[in-house]
Amino acid sequence: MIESEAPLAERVDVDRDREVAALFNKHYTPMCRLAFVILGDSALAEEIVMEALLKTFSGWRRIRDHERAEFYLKRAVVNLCRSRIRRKMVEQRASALMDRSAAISTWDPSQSDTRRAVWDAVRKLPERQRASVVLRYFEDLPEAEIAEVLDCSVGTVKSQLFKARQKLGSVLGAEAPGGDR
Amino acid sequence: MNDFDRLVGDSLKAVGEEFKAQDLASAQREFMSRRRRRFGLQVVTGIAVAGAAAAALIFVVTNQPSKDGSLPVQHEPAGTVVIDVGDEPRSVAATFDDAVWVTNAADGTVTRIDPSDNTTTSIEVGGNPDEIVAGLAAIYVSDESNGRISVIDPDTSEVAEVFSMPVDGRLDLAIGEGALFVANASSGKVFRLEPPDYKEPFLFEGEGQLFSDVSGDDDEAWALGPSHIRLLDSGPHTNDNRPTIDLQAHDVGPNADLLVAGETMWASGNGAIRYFDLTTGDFKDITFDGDYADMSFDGTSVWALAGRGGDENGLLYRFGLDGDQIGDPVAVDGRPLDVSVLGGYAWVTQSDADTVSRIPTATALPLPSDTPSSDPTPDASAKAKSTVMVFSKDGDIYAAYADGTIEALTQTQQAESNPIFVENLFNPKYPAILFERASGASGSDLAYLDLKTMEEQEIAPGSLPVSLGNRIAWLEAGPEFKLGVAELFSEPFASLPIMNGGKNVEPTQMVQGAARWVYALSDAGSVWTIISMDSTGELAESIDRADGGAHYIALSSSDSMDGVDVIRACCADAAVRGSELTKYEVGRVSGWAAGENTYETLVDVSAMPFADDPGLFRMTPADGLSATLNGDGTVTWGPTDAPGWIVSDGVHAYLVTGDGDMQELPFEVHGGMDVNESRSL
Repeated sequence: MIESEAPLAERVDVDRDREVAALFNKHYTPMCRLAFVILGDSALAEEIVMEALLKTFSGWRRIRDHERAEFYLKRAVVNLCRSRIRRKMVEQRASALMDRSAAISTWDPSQSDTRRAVWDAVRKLPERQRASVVLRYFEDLPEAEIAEVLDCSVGTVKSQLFKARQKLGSVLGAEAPGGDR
Repeated sequence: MNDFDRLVGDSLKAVGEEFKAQDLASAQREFMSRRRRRFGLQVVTGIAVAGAAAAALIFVVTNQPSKDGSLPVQHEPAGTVVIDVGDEPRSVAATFDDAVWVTNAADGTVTRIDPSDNTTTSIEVGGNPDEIVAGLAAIYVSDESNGRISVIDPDTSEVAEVFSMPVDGRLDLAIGEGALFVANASSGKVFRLEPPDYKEPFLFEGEGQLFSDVSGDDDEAWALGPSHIRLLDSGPHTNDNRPTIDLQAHDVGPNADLLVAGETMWASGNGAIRYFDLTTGDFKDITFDGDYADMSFDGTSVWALAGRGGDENGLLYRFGLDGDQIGDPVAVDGRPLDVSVLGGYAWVTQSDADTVSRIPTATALPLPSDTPSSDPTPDASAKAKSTVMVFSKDGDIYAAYADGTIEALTQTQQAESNPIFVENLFNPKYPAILFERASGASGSDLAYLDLKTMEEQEIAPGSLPVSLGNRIAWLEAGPEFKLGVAELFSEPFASLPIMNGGKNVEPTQMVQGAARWVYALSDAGSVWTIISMDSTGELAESIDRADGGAHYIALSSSDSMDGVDVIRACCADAAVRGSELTKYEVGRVSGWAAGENTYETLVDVSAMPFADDPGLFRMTPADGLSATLNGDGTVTWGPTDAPGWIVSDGVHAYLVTGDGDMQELPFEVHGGMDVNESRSL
């Protein structure tokens, strides 16, 4: 029996929806946590992860190795976070009436513990250093994989992490290791 | 792990645990709903078989227009890379010398970006670097206020010379007609300087000539005034009687930009771009969303960059040389300032963020090398580099390597044919060939064969692929004869009817020519030139088989402007139409530009027993290729200064020199072939 095209198309759509839903359930929360640590805004983190998932699934047929879905998704999340940070920087520079109370890097020592201080210091880093630090210390990625996510050389990652450690060390009053720059 | 690393790691992980997502089920519902809205109707179009067993379903996703009628905008393309440069980047110039140059106004430096890995080098020039242009084997950088111009040697990345113009204020720079042109809007003056001494600038001046910008190409340079565009210097240096285009009601006001693109002029001003076609004399006003920032011409399209305020992204528009917009504008993050488009990428400076964005200008196809699962082996990479020639034989694609060996790259014995090497200057990691392969019962499609991984990537149904710079074109499948066009390694973006006076032309062979030309051979034995690319598929000139019944039976690709080489078959008695074809020769058809279409005999090859599907490849001294036959039947490839051809009579292949000497190669070639110009011999 020769199947008509329509039932095949419908079946494919249903199968695909199931696949997408399963991937969504698996990756949504971990990716939101990654975006949240980078940005410090839970609503924005969820919005970015939604967008990253949409982007990744829109190019799904072009991904040959679906086992690497998490990697592609992670790269999309980090890129969108970096893009949002850059846009925020532009807005802050452009606005002469910037509301200092709204700045995301505010830290009140009286209400924060050391961990909070570390996070605030991380969020003051330039966007690429910030992404490098979060991927290294939150995601525990080796430098080679960070380079892959950020689409740069391992040397650049080493350089970014070195600079970030120096800045974090000076802000936190801790001695940062020299790193393997 | 030391204490510092542990502190940072533990702190960030604790922060991550604090995150509380909305209810996962409702988030999933919202996501699926957005996904359907975003991608609209999804249609199954076919089934692609990967390997012998696995089958994958291919989806075509159709974007629907927004329901609120807002401007359709493409999202920032995947593959966009943001590169940190110096302080306050301003101008950017991409060159075909594998470098992108950026001025950083606030720190007195120029950044050189290597597009192969996006690494940067900083060059100290001092002052406040502003405009930058590349050409005449140099990089020219103007200072924003003091009239100084620095000349950077692109080979050493060092400042080779500094000189000053006798004016104050900003300078606009352009290369045109073998000279550097400098416009100074505050004085309205334009200068012409010639390397290497730049000592005697020629000043263009005269009543009412307050120029704000200058633009040029190989042939000429034009300057823009508030209400006119003036041809500067295509002959003797003079200020008298220079051709001038009166912009009439399309005046642009002061401080406008000018771009010369082929036979068209583009001037920014008064919230629009004024388009002027030199060949027809037509004006057109092009409007766009946002504030004008910059324009760039990549050889086939004009790109216009616009900034928008507040939270809104900038926009990058693309126009054909007919002035019509192509596709939707692409969103560009931040506040874009300057753009240079070349080799399939737009390079955009973002002054506020101290970055340059490298944005793919077309939707990239996923080449197998992109996928981590197919990591190329060192052997495969070395083999790709040592590939001297690819050719078709018995329905498969073969490679001839520098060590003299031959190997089948495909093993289908179907209809694989017409292989050509393609290389993206800005993506050197993709050595690939483009070829025609069997598809279904009688159709064919175009595909890339990744020479690192030996995997294939389908492009579109069609045949007769050609490669022009960073673009490819082919004959589309279907009853109408149309030229498909795509950026290299990207999705197709144009479909152009190939017309001659309203009548379709059916090509039987197509090869790449110079610039925007495709040469086509028709089944009637005629040669046609097709103006291809963005806006037209019209035939420019043709040479018919009107000279005593001669047939043109094969074409060679050519990057030169002096015509296309052909194999011409003719008859024992040239005066008698229909007499037996016994005389075969390699010749050259030239004179397209002047409309002459002359034919010149170069070498008689009648000694070859021509069969079906003859082929021709022209080797210029720059290709430097010859072959030596070894006793064991293999061939050793090596360089030579002698021009010549590889000629296939449809079965055997021969090296033919300009003197007419022939040497048979130890392999068969049935049809298309190409030589790898970036090989390592």
